[in-house]
Amino acid sequence: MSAASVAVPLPPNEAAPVVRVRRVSLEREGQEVLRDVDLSVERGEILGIVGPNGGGKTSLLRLVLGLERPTAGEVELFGVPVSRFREWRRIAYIPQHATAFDPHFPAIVREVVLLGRVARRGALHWLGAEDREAARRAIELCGLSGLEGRRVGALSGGEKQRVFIAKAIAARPDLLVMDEPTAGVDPESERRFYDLLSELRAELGLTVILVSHDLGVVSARVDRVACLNRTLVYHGPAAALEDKDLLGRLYGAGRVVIAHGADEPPVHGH
Amino acid sequence: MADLVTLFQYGFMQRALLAGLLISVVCGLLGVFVVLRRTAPLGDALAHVSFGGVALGIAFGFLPLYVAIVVAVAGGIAMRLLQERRLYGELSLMIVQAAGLAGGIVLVSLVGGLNVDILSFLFAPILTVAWSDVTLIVGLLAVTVAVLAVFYKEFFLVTFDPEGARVSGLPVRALDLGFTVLTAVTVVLAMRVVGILLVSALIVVPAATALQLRLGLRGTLVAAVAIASLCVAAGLVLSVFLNAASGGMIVLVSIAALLASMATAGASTRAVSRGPRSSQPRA
Ligand SMILES: Nc1ncnc2c1ncn2[C@@H]1O[C@H](COP(=O)(O)OP(=O)(O)O)[C@@H](O)[C@H]1O
Ligand SMILES: [Mg+2]
Repeated sequence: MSAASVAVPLPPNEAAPVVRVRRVSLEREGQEVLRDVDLSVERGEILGIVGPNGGGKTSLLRLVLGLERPTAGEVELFGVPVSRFREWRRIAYIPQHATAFDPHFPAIVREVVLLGRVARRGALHWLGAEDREAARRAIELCGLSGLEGRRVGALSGGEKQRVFIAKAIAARPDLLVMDEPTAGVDPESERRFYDLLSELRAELGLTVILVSHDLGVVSARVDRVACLNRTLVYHGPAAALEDKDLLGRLYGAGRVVIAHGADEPPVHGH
Repeated sequence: MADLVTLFQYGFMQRALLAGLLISVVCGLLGVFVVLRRTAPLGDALAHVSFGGVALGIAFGFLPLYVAIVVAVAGGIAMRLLQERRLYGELSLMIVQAAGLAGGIVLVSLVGGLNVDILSFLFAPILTVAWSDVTLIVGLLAVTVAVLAVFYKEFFLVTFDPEGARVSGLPVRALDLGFTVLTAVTVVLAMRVVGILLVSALIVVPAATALQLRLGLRGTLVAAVAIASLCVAAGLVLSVFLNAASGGMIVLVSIAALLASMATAGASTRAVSRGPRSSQPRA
Protein backbone atom coordinates (compact mmCIF):
# COMPACT_ATOMS: atom_id res chain seq x y z
CA MET A 1 0.00 0.00 0.00
CA SER A 2 1.33 3.45 -0.84
CA ALA A 3 1.71 6.27 1.65
CA ALA A 4 -1.05 8.20 -0.13
CA SER A 5 -3.69 5.59 0.76
CA VAL A 6 -2.91 6.11 4.45
CA ALA A 7 -4.68 9.47 4.68
CA VAL A 8 -8.23 8.14 5.13
CA PRO A 9 -10.95 10.44 3.73
CA LEU A 10 -13.00 12.05 6.49
CA PRO A 11 -16.51 10.68 6.98
CA PRO A 12 -19.04 13.35 8.09
CA ASN A 13 -18.65 13.14 11.86
CA GLU A 14 -14.90 13.38 11.51
CA ALA A 15 -15.07 17.11 12.11
CA ALA A 16 -15.56 16.33 15.81
CA PRO A 17 -12.48 16.16 18.02
CA VAL A 18 -10.83 12.74 18.09
CA VAL A 19 -11.47 12.59 21.83
CA ARG A 20 -13.78 14.73 23.92
CA VAL A 21 -14.02 14.28 27.66
CA ARG A 22 -16.85 16.20 29.33
CA ARG A 23 -17.17 16.76 33.08
CA VAL A 24 -15.88 13.30 33.78
CA SER A 25 -15.54 12.04 37.33
CA LEU A 26 -14.41 8.64 38.49
CA GLU A 27 -14.78 7.01 41.87
CA ARG A 28 -13.36 3.63 42.73
CA GLU A 29 -14.48 1.94 45.92
CA GLY A 30 -15.53 5.30 47.37
CA GLN A 31 -12.19 6.92 46.47
CA GLU A 32 -12.29 9.91 44.16
CA VAL A 33 -9.81 9.35 41.33
CA LEU A 34 -10.90 12.06 38.87
CA ARG A 35 -13.21 15.00 39.31
CA ASP A 36 -14.85 17.11 36.62
CA VAL A 37 -12.26 16.62 33.92
CA ASP A 38 -12.83 18.39 30.59
CA LEU A 39 -10.47 17.60 27.76
CA SER A 40 -10.32 17.52 24.00
CA VAL A 41 -7.86 16.10 21.52
CA GLU A 42 -7.91 17.51 18.02
CA ARG A 43 -7.09 15.59 14.88
CA GLY A 44 -3.35 15.36 14.20
CA GLU A 45 -2.47 16.69 17.61
CA ILE A 46 0.07 15.27 20.04
CA LEU A 47 -1.29 15.67 23.57
CA GLY A 48 0.91 15.04 26.58
CA ILE A 49 -0.79 14.15 29.87
CA VAL A 50 1.44 14.90 32.84
CA GLY A 51 0.97 14.87 36.56
CA PRO A 52 2.17 13.21 39.76
CA ASN A 53 1.95 9.48 40.42
CA GLY A 54 -1.55 8.47 41.35
CA GLY A 55 -2.88 11.66 39.76
CA GLY A 56 -5.27 9.60 37.62
CA LYS A 57 -3.44 9.63 34.26
CA THR A 58 -3.80 5.91 33.59
CA SER A 59 -7.38 5.99 34.87
CA LEU A 60 -8.26 8.78 32.43
CA LEU A 61 -6.81 6.76 29.53
CA ARG A 62 -8.84 3.72 30.60
CA LEU A 63 -12.01 5.82 30.53
CA VAL A 64 -11.14 7.15 27.09
CA LEU A 65 -10.51 3.60 25.85
CA GLY A 66 -13.77 2.29 27.27
CA LEU A 67 -11.98 -0.11 29.61
CA GLU A 68 -13.78 1.54 32.52
CA ARG A 69 -16.91 3.66 32.84
CA PRO A 70 -16.92 7.10 34.46
CA THR A 71 -19.04 7.70 37.55
CA ALA A 72 -20.26 10.91 35.93
CA GLY A 73 -19.75 12.76 32.67
CA GLU A 74 -19.18 11.44 29.19
CA VAL A 75 -16.44 10.48 26.77
CA GLU A 76 -16.76 10.75 23.00
CA LEU A 77 -14.49 9.20 20.38
CA PHE A 78 -14.71 10.67 16.88
CA GLY A 79 -17.98 12.30 17.92
CA VAL A 80 -19.52 9.02 19.14
CA PRO A 81 -20.24 8.28 22.83
CA VAL A 82 -17.72 5.68 23.96
CA SER A 83 -20.42 3.16 24.87
CA ARG A 84 -21.70 3.23 21.30
CA PHE A 85 -18.32 3.45 19.63
CA ARG A 86 -17.57 0.36 17.54
CA GLU A 87 -14.59 1.20 15.36
CA TRP A 88 -12.04 0.15 17.92
CA ARG A 89 -9.56 -0.82 15.27
CA ARG A 90 -9.02 2.90 14.68
CA ILE A 91 -7.41 3.08 18.11
CA ALA A 92 -4.15 1.54 19.24
CA TYR A 93 -3.17 1.40 22.89
CA ILE A 94 0.24 0.74 24.40
CA PRO A 95 -0.36 0.16 28.13
CA GLN A 96 1.96 1.24 30.91
CA HIS A 97 4.77 -1.31 31.40
CA ALA A 98 3.97 -2.89 28.02
CA THR A 99 7.67 -3.35 27.36
CA ALA A 100 8.16 -5.04 30.72
CA PHE A 101 6.38 -8.20 29.51
CA ASP A 102 7.78 -11.67 30.15
CA PRO A 103 11.31 -11.48 28.62
CA HIS A 104 11.13 -15.19 27.75
CA PHE A 105 7.98 -14.81 25.66
CA PRO A 106 8.72 -16.67 22.42
CA ALA A 107 7.91 -14.01 19.86
CA ILE A 108 10.10 -12.44 17.23
CA VAL A 109 9.79 -8.85 16.05
CA ARG A 110 8.00 -9.75 12.80
CA GLU A 111 5.37 -11.84 14.63
CA VAL A 112 4.65 -9.15 17.21
CA VAL A 113 4.30 -6.34 14.67
CA LEU A 114 1.97 -8.54 12.62
CA LEU A 115 -0.25 -8.86 15.70
CA GLY A 116 -1.15 -5.22 15.15
CA ARG A 117 -3.12 -6.38 12.11
CA VAL A 118 -5.29 -8.92 13.96
CA ALA A 119 -8.22 -6.65 14.84
CA ARG A 120 -8.18 -5.04 11.42
CA ARG A 121 -8.38 -8.38 9.62
CA GLY A 122 -11.20 -9.73 11.77
CA ALA A 123 -12.08 -13.24 12.92
CA LEU A 124 -11.98 -16.21 10.52
CA HIS A 125 -9.59 -14.41 8.16
CA TRP A 126 -5.95 -15.33 7.85
CA LEU A 127 -3.38 -12.59 7.83
CA GLY A 128 -2.23 -12.18 4.24
CA ALA A 129 0.22 -10.41 1.98
CA GLU A 130 -1.36 -7.02 2.62
CA ASP A 131 -0.88 -7.48 6.36
CA ARG A 132 2.70 -8.61 5.98
CA GLU A 133 3.38 -5.57 3.82
CA ALA A 134 1.82 -3.22 6.41
CA ALA A 135 3.94 -4.86 9.11
CA ARG A 136 7.08 -4.60 6.99
CA ARG A 137 6.44 -0.91 6.43
CA ALA A 138 5.77 -0.29 10.14
CA ILE A 139 9.04 -2.04 10.95
CA GLU A 140 10.84 0.16 8.47
CA LEU A 141 9.22 3.37 9.73
CA CYS A 142 10.21 2.53 13.29
CA GLY A 143 13.81 1.88 12.34
CA LEU A 144 13.69 -1.83 13.15
CA SER A 145 14.84 -3.15 9.77
CA GLY A 146 17.34 -5.93 10.33
CA LEU A 147 15.82 -6.92 13.66
CA GLU A 148 12.76 -8.72 12.20
CA GLY A 149 13.93 -12.17 13.25
CA ARG A 150 15.11 -11.22 16.74
CA ARG A 151 13.23 -12.26 19.86
CA VAL A 152 11.50 -9.26 21.36
CA GLY A 153 12.50 -10.19 24.89
CA ALA A 154 16.18 -9.99 23.93
CA LEU A 155 16.01 -6.41 22.63
CA SER A 156 17.01 -3.26 24.51
CA GLY A 157 14.35 -1.12 26.20
CA GLY A 158 14.35 1.45 23.41
CA GLU A 159 14.11 -1.23 20.71
CA LYS A 160 11.27 -3.00 22.52
CA GLN A 161 9.41 0.27 22.75
CA ARG A 162 9.77 0.76 18.99
CA VAL A 163 8.46 -2.77 18.42
CA PHE A 164 5.30 -1.88 20.34
CA ILE A 165 4.92 1.31 18.33
CA ALA A 166 5.41 -0.62 15.09
CA LYS A 167 2.75 -3.11 16.22
CA ALA A 168 0.42 -0.21 16.98
CA ILE A 169 0.91 1.62 13.69
CA ALA A 170 0.78 -1.57 11.61
CA ALA A 171 -2.95 -1.38 12.33
CA ARG A 172 -2.97 2.05 10.65
CA PRO A 173 -4.84 3.59 13.60
CA ASP A 174 -6.08 7.18 13.66
CA LEU A 175 -5.39 7.51 17.36
CA LEU A 176 -2.39 6.15 19.24
CA VAL A 177 -2.62 6.11 23.04
CA MET A 178 0.54 5.46 25.05
CA ASP A 179 0.93 5.24 28.82
CA GLU A 180 4.40 6.27 30.01
CA PRO A 181 6.15 5.10 26.85
CA THR A 182 9.51 6.56 27.80
CA ALA A 183 9.69 5.26 31.38
CA GLY A 184 12.98 3.41 31.88
CA VAL A 185 14.35 4.35 28.48
CA ASP A 186 17.75 6.06 28.16
CA PRO A 187 17.83 9.72 27.01
CA GLU A 188 19.12 8.89 23.54
CA SER A 189 16.25 6.43 22.94
CA GLU A 190 13.83 8.97 24.36
CA ARG A 191 15.02 11.56 21.83
CA ARG A 192 14.61 9.00 19.01
CA PHE A 193 11.15 8.17 20.31
CA TYR A 194 9.89 11.75 20.04
CA ASP A 195 11.54 12.16 16.62
CA LEU A 196 9.73 9.01 15.48
CA LEU A 197 6.45 10.35 16.84
CA SER A 198 6.77 13.57 14.81
CA GLU A 199 7.63 11.54 11.70
CA LEU A 200 4.65 9.24 12.18
CA ARG A 201 2.33 12.18 12.57
CA ALA A 202 3.65 13.74 9.38
CA GLU A 203 3.57 10.43 7.50
CA LEU A 204 0.34 8.88 8.76
CA GLY A 205 -1.66 11.85 10.08
CA LEU A 206 -1.69 10.15 13.47
CA THR A 207 -3.28 11.71 16.55
CA VAL A 208 -1.34 10.86 19.71
CA ILE A 209 -2.09 10.89 23.42
CA LEU A 210 0.87 10.09 25.61
CA VAL A 211 1.27 10.04 29.37
CA SER A 212 4.55 11.00 30.91
CA HIS A 213 5.84 12.18 34.23
CA ASP A 214 8.84 13.87 32.59
CA LEU A 215 7.51 17.42 32.30
CA GLY A 216 10.69 18.90 30.88
CA VAL A 217 10.92 16.67 27.82
CA VAL A 218 7.18 16.53 27.19
CA SER A 219 6.68 20.27 27.09
CA ALA A 220 9.34 20.54 24.39
CA ARG A 221 7.94 17.75 22.21
CA VAL A 222 4.13 17.85 22.27
CA ASP A 223 1.55 20.37 21.01
CA ARG A 224 -0.62 20.64 24.07
CA VAL A 225 -0.44 19.31 27.59
CA ALA A 226 -3.01 18.32 30.13
CA CYS A 227 -1.82 18.52 33.74
CA LEU A 228 -3.76 16.09 35.84
CA ASN A 229 -3.82 15.81 39.58
CA ARG A 230 -7.24 14.35 40.27
CA THR A 231 -8.64 17.50 38.68
CA LEU A 232 -7.41 19.03 35.45
CA VAL A 233 -5.00 21.71 36.60
CA TYR A 234 -4.08 22.92 33.14
CA HIS A 235 -5.03 22.10 29.56
CA GLY A 236 -3.42 24.11 26.84
CA PRO A 237 -0.30 24.85 24.78
CA ALA A 238 2.83 23.07 25.95
CA ALA A 239 4.85 26.29 26.09
CA ALA A 240 2.96 27.40 29.21
CA LEU A 241 4.69 24.62 31.16
CA GLU A 242 7.73 26.86 31.49
CA ASP A 243 5.61 28.63 34.12
CA LYS A 244 7.10 27.75 37.51
CA ASP A 245 3.96 28.77 39.30
CA LEU A 246 1.91 26.21 37.42
CA LEU A 247 4.41 23.48 38.22
CA GLY A 248 4.13 24.42 41.85
CA ARG A 249 0.39 24.08 41.77
CA LEU A 250 0.58 20.77 39.93
CA TYR A 251 3.13 19.06 42.12
CA GLY A 252 4.21 20.90 45.27
CA ALA A 253 1.04 22.60 46.33
CA GLY A 254 -1.18 20.15 44.45
CA ARG A 255 -3.11 19.28 47.58
CA VAL A 256 -4.06 22.92 48.08
CA VAL A 257 -5.62 22.95 44.61
CA ILE A 258 -7.68 19.91 45.50
CA ALA A 259 -8.65 21.14 48.96
CA HIS A 260 -9.85 24.48 47.62
CA GLY A 261 -10.80 23.13 44.24
CA ALA A 262 -14.31 24.52 44.47
CA ASP A 263 -13.31 28.15 44.80
CA GLU A 264 -10.16 27.99 42.72
CA PRO A 265 -11.07 27.35 39.09
CA PRO A 266 -8.52 25.37 37.06
CA VAL A 267 -6.48 27.37 34.59
CA HIS A 268 -7.59 26.83 31.03
CA GLY A 269 -5.07 28.31 28.66
CA HIS A 270 -6.19 28.67 25.08
CA MET B 1 16.40 -53.08 16.39
CA ALA B 2 14.80 -56.33 15.31
CA ASP B 3 12.94 -56.28 18.61
CA LEU B 4 11.60 -52.83 17.86
CA VAL B 5 10.26 -53.96 14.49
CA THR B 6 8.60 -56.99 16.03
CA LEU B 7 7.10 -54.81 18.70
CA PHE B 8 5.29 -52.64 16.19
CA GLN B 9 3.77 -55.69 14.51
CA TYR B 10 1.44 -55.95 17.48
CA GLY B 11 -1.89 -54.21 16.94
CA PHE B 12 -2.03 -52.88 20.50
CA MET B 13 1.36 -51.24 20.03
CA GLN B 14 0.36 -49.68 16.70
CA ARG B 15 -2.83 -48.29 18.20
CA ALA B 16 -1.01 -46.99 21.27
CA LEU B 17 1.67 -45.28 19.21
CA LEU B 18 -0.85 -43.79 16.78
CA ALA B 19 -3.07 -42.48 19.58
CA GLY B 20 -0.04 -41.20 21.47
CA LEU B 21 1.38 -39.33 18.48
CA LEU B 22 -1.98 -37.78 17.61
CA ILE B 23 -2.46 -36.58 21.15
CA SER B 24 1.10 -35.19 21.26
CA VAL B 25 0.13 -32.81 18.48
CA VAL B 26 -2.67 -31.26 20.55
CA CYS B 27 -0.65 -31.30 23.76
CA GLY B 28 2.29 -29.59 22.10
CA LEU B 29 0.20 -26.86 20.47
CA LEU B 30 -2.06 -26.15 23.41
CA GLY B 31 0.73 -26.62 25.97
CA VAL B 32 2.66 -23.62 24.65
CA PHE B 33 -0.36 -21.38 25.22
CA VAL B 34 -1.04 -22.98 28.61
CA VAL B 35 2.50 -22.19 29.75
CA LEU B 36 2.49 -18.64 28.35
CA ARG B 37 -0.94 -17.84 29.79
CA ARG B 38 0.12 -19.46 33.08
CA THR B 39 -2.96 -21.65 33.16
CA ALA B 40 -1.18 -24.92 34.03
CA PRO B 41 -3.18 -25.13 37.30
CA LEU B 42 -6.35 -25.02 35.19
CA GLY B 43 -5.23 -28.13 33.30
CA ASP B 44 -4.47 -29.94 36.51
CA ALA B 45 -7.81 -28.99 38.05
CA LEU B 46 -9.66 -30.09 34.92
CA ALA B 47 -7.91 -33.45 35.05
CA HIS B 48 -9.22 -33.99 38.55
CA VAL B 49 -12.69 -32.90 37.51
CA SER B 50 -12.68 -35.38 34.67
CA PHE B 51 -12.17 -38.15 37.22
CA GLY B 52 -15.73 -37.41 38.28
CA GLY B 53 -16.77 -37.84 34.63
CA VAL B 54 -14.98 -41.16 34.30
CA ALA B 55 -16.61 -42.41 37.49
CA LEU B 56 -20.00 -41.25 36.26
CA GLY B 57 -19.52 -43.03 32.94
CA ILE B 58 -18.43 -46.27 34.57
CA ALA B 59 -21.20 -46.14 37.19
CA PHE B 60 -23.93 -45.70 34.62
CA GLY B 61 -22.42 -47.78 31.87
CA PHE B 62 -21.79 -44.98 29.36
CA LEU B 63 -18.51 -44.59 27.53
CA PRO B 64 -16.36 -43.02 30.28
CA LEU B 65 -14.24 -40.99 27.86
CA TYR B 66 -17.26 -39.21 26.40
CA VAL B 67 -18.75 -38.49 29.81
CA ALA B 68 -15.35 -37.24 31.00
CA ILE B 69 -15.22 -34.73 28.14
CA VAL B 70 -18.68 -33.37 28.94
CA VAL B 71 -17.88 -33.11 32.65
CA ALA B 72 -14.47 -31.50 32.04
CA VAL B 73 -15.91 -28.90 29.67
CA ALA B 74 -18.73 -28.12 32.13
CA GLY B 75 -16.16 -27.91 34.94
CA GLY B 76 -14.00 -25.51 32.94
CA ILE B 77 -16.96 -23.24 32.25
CA ALA B 78 -17.92 -23.35 35.92
CA MET B 79 -14.38 -22.29 36.90
CA ARG B 80 -14.53 -19.31 34.55
CA LEU B 81 -17.91 -18.24 35.87
CA LEU B 82 -16.69 -18.47 39.47
CA GLN B 83 -13.61 -16.42 38.56
CA GLU B 84 -15.83 -13.74 37.09
CA ARG B 85 -17.73 -13.66 40.39
CA ARG B 86 -14.45 -12.32 41.79
CA LEU B 87 -13.67 -15.49 43.64
CA TYR B 88 -9.88 -15.66 43.96
CA GLY B 89 -8.48 -17.43 40.88
CA GLU B 90 -7.01 -20.49 42.60
CA LEU B 91 -10.00 -20.82 44.88
CA SER B 92 -12.45 -21.22 42.00
CA LEU B 93 -10.22 -23.89 40.45
CA MET B 94 -9.98 -25.70 43.76
CA ILE B 95 -13.73 -25.67 44.39
CA VAL B 96 -14.68 -27.11 41.01
CA GLN B 97 -11.84 -29.61 41.16
CA ALA B 98 -12.97 -30.73 44.61
CA ALA B 99 -16.56 -31.07 43.38
CA GLY B 100 -15.42 -33.34 40.54
CA LEU B 101 -13.15 -35.44 42.73
CA ALA B 102 -15.64 -35.74 45.58
CA GLY B 103 -18.43 -36.67 43.19
CA GLY B 104 -16.17 -39.28 41.61
CA ILE B 105 -15.15 -40.76 44.95
CA VAL B 106 -18.75 -41.00 46.13
CA LEU B 107 -19.82 -42.65 42.87
CA VAL B 108 -16.94 -45.12 43.05
CA SER B 109 -17.91 -46.08 46.60
CA LEU B 110 -21.54 -46.50 45.56
CA VAL B 111 -20.71 -48.87 42.71
CA GLY B 112 -18.48 -50.96 44.96
CA GLY B 113 -14.97 -49.57 45.21
CA LEU B 114 -12.13 -49.02 42.80
CA ASN B 115 -12.42 -51.46 39.96
CA VAL B 116 -9.98 -52.18 37.17
CA ASP B 117 -11.66 -49.72 34.80
CA ILE B 118 -11.19 -46.77 37.11
CA LEU B 119 -7.64 -47.74 37.97
CA SER B 120 -6.85 -47.85 34.28
CA PHE B 121 -7.91 -44.23 33.91
CA LEU B 122 -5.86 -43.17 36.90
CA PHE B 123 -2.70 -44.78 35.58
CA ALA B 124 -1.48 -46.17 32.30
CA PRO B 125 -4.24 -47.00 29.88
CA ILE B 126 -2.62 -46.33 26.52
CA LEU B 127 -1.68 -49.89 25.72
CA THR B 128 -5.36 -50.75 26.06
CA VAL B 129 -6.46 -48.19 23.46
CA ALA B 130 -9.12 -49.63 21.15
CA TRP B 131 -9.87 -48.58 17.59
CA SER B 132 -13.04 -46.88 18.79
CA ASP B 133 -10.88 -44.72 21.05
CA VAL B 134 -8.62 -43.86 18.14
CA THR B 135 -11.65 -42.69 16.15
CA LEU B 136 -12.75 -40.40 18.96
CA ILE B 137 -9.22 -39.10 19.36
CA VAL B 138 -8.92 -38.34 15.65
CA GLY B 139 -12.22 -36.46 15.69
CA LEU B 140 -11.38 -34.34 18.71
CA LEU B 141 -7.87 -33.77 17.43
CA ALA B 142 -9.22 -32.42 14.16
CA VAL B 143 -11.59 -30.05 15.96
CA THR B 144 -8.97 -28.82 18.43
CA VAL B 145 -6.28 -28.24 15.82
CA ALA B 146 -8.76 -26.51 13.53
CA VAL B 147 -9.91 -24.15 16.29
CA LEU B 148 -6.31 -23.37 17.25
CA ALA B 149 -5.40 -22.74 13.61
CA VAL B 150 -8.39 -20.53 12.86
CA PHE B 151 -8.00 -18.44 16.04
CA TYR B 152 -4.20 -18.58 16.14
CA LYS B 153 -3.79 -14.84 15.70
CA GLU B 154 -6.44 -14.03 18.30
CA PHE B 155 -5.00 -16.46 20.88
CA PHE B 156 -1.52 -15.08 20.21
CA LEU B 157 -2.72 -11.49 20.71
CA VAL B 158 -4.67 -12.08 23.93
CA THR B 159 -1.75 -14.06 25.31
CA PHE B 160 0.85 -11.45 24.40
CA ASP B 161 -1.09 -8.24 25.07
CA PRO B 162 -4.50 -8.83 26.73
CA GLU B 163 -5.21 -5.16 27.41
CA GLY B 164 -4.33 -4.08 23.87
CA ALA B 165 -6.48 -6.94 22.56
CA ARG B 166 -9.47 -5.73 24.54
CA VAL B 167 -9.04 -2.16 23.28
CA SER B 168 -8.82 -3.27 19.67
CA GLY B 169 -12.23 -4.89 20.07
CA LEU B 170 -11.32 -8.57 20.38
CA PRO B 171 -13.90 -10.68 22.27
CA VAL B 172 -11.45 -11.48 25.05
CA ARG B 173 -14.03 -13.17 27.29
CA ALA B 174 -15.20 -15.51 24.53
CA LEU B 175 -11.59 -16.34 23.65
CA ASP B 176 -10.79 -17.13 27.30
CA LEU B 177 -13.83 -19.40 27.47
CA GLY B 178 -12.90 -21.06 24.19
CA PHE B 179 -9.41 -21.64 25.47
CA THR B 180 -10.80 -23.24 28.63
CA VAL B 181 -12.97 -25.61 26.56
CA LEU B 182 -9.98 -26.56 24.40
CA THR B 183 -7.96 -27.24 27.53
CA ALA B 184 -10.73 -29.45 28.91
CA VAL B 185 -10.87 -31.51 25.72
CA THR B 186 -7.09 -31.80 25.57
CA VAL B 187 -6.93 -32.89 29.20
CA VAL B 188 -9.32 -35.76 28.57
CA LEU B 189 -7.40 -36.80 25.45
CA ALA B 190 -4.08 -36.68 27.30
CA MET B 191 -5.66 -38.69 30.10
CA ARG B 192 -5.93 -41.57 27.66
CA VAL B 193 -2.12 -41.50 27.22
CA VAL B 194 -0.67 -40.91 30.67
CA GLY B 195 -3.59 -41.19 33.09
CA ILE B 196 -5.37 -38.51 35.11
CA LEU B 197 -2.54 -37.89 37.54
CA LEU B 198 0.03 -37.02 34.86
CA VAL B 199 -2.13 -35.18 32.35
CA SER B 200 -0.89 -31.67 33.04
CA ALA B 201 2.73 -32.85 32.83
CA LEU B 202 2.18 -34.16 29.30
CA ILE B 203 0.65 -30.83 28.30
CA VAL B 204 3.12 -28.53 29.98
CA VAL B 205 6.53 -30.24 30.02
CA PRO B 206 7.15 -30.61 26.24
CA ALA B 207 5.97 -27.00 25.77
CA ALA B 208 8.38 -25.80 28.46
CA THR B 209 11.16 -27.73 26.70
CA ALA B 210 10.33 -26.05 23.38
CA LEU B 211 10.37 -22.64 25.08
CA GLN B 212 14.02 -23.25 26.02
CA LEU B 213 14.94 -23.19 22.34
CA ARG B 214 14.29 -19.42 22.13
CA LEU B 215 12.40 -19.48 18.85
CA GLY B 216 9.49 -17.32 17.70
CA LEU B 217 5.95 -18.45 18.54
CA ARG B 218 5.43 -20.38 15.32
CA GLY B 219 8.80 -22.12 15.74
CA THR B 220 8.04 -22.88 19.38
CA LEU B 221 4.70 -24.50 18.48
CA VAL B 222 6.34 -26.73 15.87
CA ALA B 223 9.12 -27.64 18.29
CA ALA B 224 6.63 -28.44 21.06
CA VAL B 225 4.74 -30.86 18.79
CA ALA B 226 7.98 -32.53 17.72
CA ILE B 227 9.26 -32.83 21.29
CA ALA B 228 5.94 -34.16 22.62
CA SER B 229 5.80 -36.77 19.85
CA LEU B 230 9.37 -37.92 20.44
CA CYS B 231 8.83 -38.17 24.19
CA VAL B 232 5.60 -40.15 23.81
CA ALA B 233 7.18 -42.54 21.29
CA ALA B 234 10.36 -43.02 23.33
CA GLY B 235 8.46 -43.40 26.59
CA LEU B 236 6.14 -45.95 25.05
CA VAL B 237 8.94 -48.08 23.63
CA LEU B 238 10.94 -47.89 26.86
CA SER B 239 7.94 -48.87 28.93
CA VAL B 240 7.36 -51.98 26.82
CA PHE B 241 11.02 -53.02 26.92
CA LEU B 242 11.30 -52.44 30.66
CA ASN B 243 7.79 -53.71 31.29
CA ALA B 244 7.10 -50.49 33.21
CA ALA B 245 4.09 -48.16 33.37
CA SER B 246 3.85 -46.30 30.06
CA GLY B 247 2.31 -43.06 31.39
CA GLY B 248 4.99 -42.65 34.00
CA MET B 249 7.71 -43.53 31.53
CA ILE B 250 6.48 -40.95 28.98
CA VAL B 251 6.46 -38.21 31.59
CA LEU B 252 9.91 -39.20 32.90
CA VAL B 253 11.32 -39.02 29.36
CA SER B 254 9.66 -35.59 28.90
CA ILE B 255 11.17 -34.30 32.11
CA ALA B 256 14.61 -35.62 31.12
CA ALA B 257 14.28 -33.74 27.82
CA LEU B 258 13.30 -30.57 29.69
CA LEU B 259 16.28 -30.83 32.03
CA ALA B 260 18.62 -31.43 29.10
CA SER B 261 17.28 -28.39 27.23
CA MET B 262 17.51 -26.24 30.34
CA ALA B 263 21.13 -27.26 30.87
CA THR B 264 21.95 -26.42 27.23
CA ALA B 265 20.06 -23.12 27.31
CA GLY B 266 21.69 -22.22 30.64
CA ALA B 267 25.16 -22.84 29.21
CA SER B 268 24.49 -20.70 26.12
CA THR B 269 22.95 -17.88 28.23
CA ARG B 270 26.06 -17.74 30.38
CA ALA B 271 28.21 -17.59 27.26
CA VAL B 272 26.12 -14.74 25.85
CA SER B 273 26.01 -12.74 29.07
CA ARG B 274 29.82 -12.54 29.02
CA GLY B 275 29.57 -11.04 25.54
CA PRO B 276 29.23 -7.39 24.57
CA ARG B 277 25.44 -7.22 25.16
CA SER B 278 25.91 -7.24 28.92
CA SER B 279 28.06 -4.08 28.85
CA GLN B 280 26.56 -1.10 30.67
CA PRO B 281 24.32 1.17 28.58
CA ARG B 282 25.75 4.59 27.96
CA ALA B 283 24.78 7.19 30.52
N1 LIG C 1 -7.30 -1.08 39.49
C1 LIG C 1 -7.43 -0.16 40.46
N2 LIG C 1 -8.30 -0.37 41.49
C2 LIG C 1 -8.45 0.55 42.45
N3 LIG C 1 -7.75 1.70 42.51
C3 LIG C 1 -6.88 1.96 41.53
C4 LIG C 1 -6.67 1.04 40.45
N4 LIG C 1 -5.72 1.57 39.63
C5 LIG C 1 -5.38 2.75 40.16
N5 LIG C 1 -6.06 3.00 41.30
C6 LIG C 1 -5.98 4.22 42.13
O1 LIG C 1 -6.47 5.27 41.34
C7 LIG C 1 -5.70 6.44 41.54
C8 LIG C 1 -5.15 6.93 40.19
O2 LIG C 1 -4.24 5.97 39.69
P1 LIG C 1 -3.64 6.04 38.23
O3 LIG C 1 -4.73 6.40 37.30
O4 LIG C 1 -2.91 4.78 37.99
O5 LIG C 1 -2.63 7.26 38.35
P2 LIG C 1 -1.34 7.61 37.47
O6 LIG C 1 -1.40 6.83 36.23
O7 LIG C 1 -1.45 9.08 37.26
O8 LIG C 1 -0.16 7.26 38.31
C9 LIG C 1 -4.61 6.07 42.51
O9 LIG C 1 -5.03 6.52 43.78
C10 LIG C 1 -4.57 4.59 42.47
O10 LIG C 1 -4.18 4.07 43.72
MG1 LIG D 1 -0.10 5.41 35.40
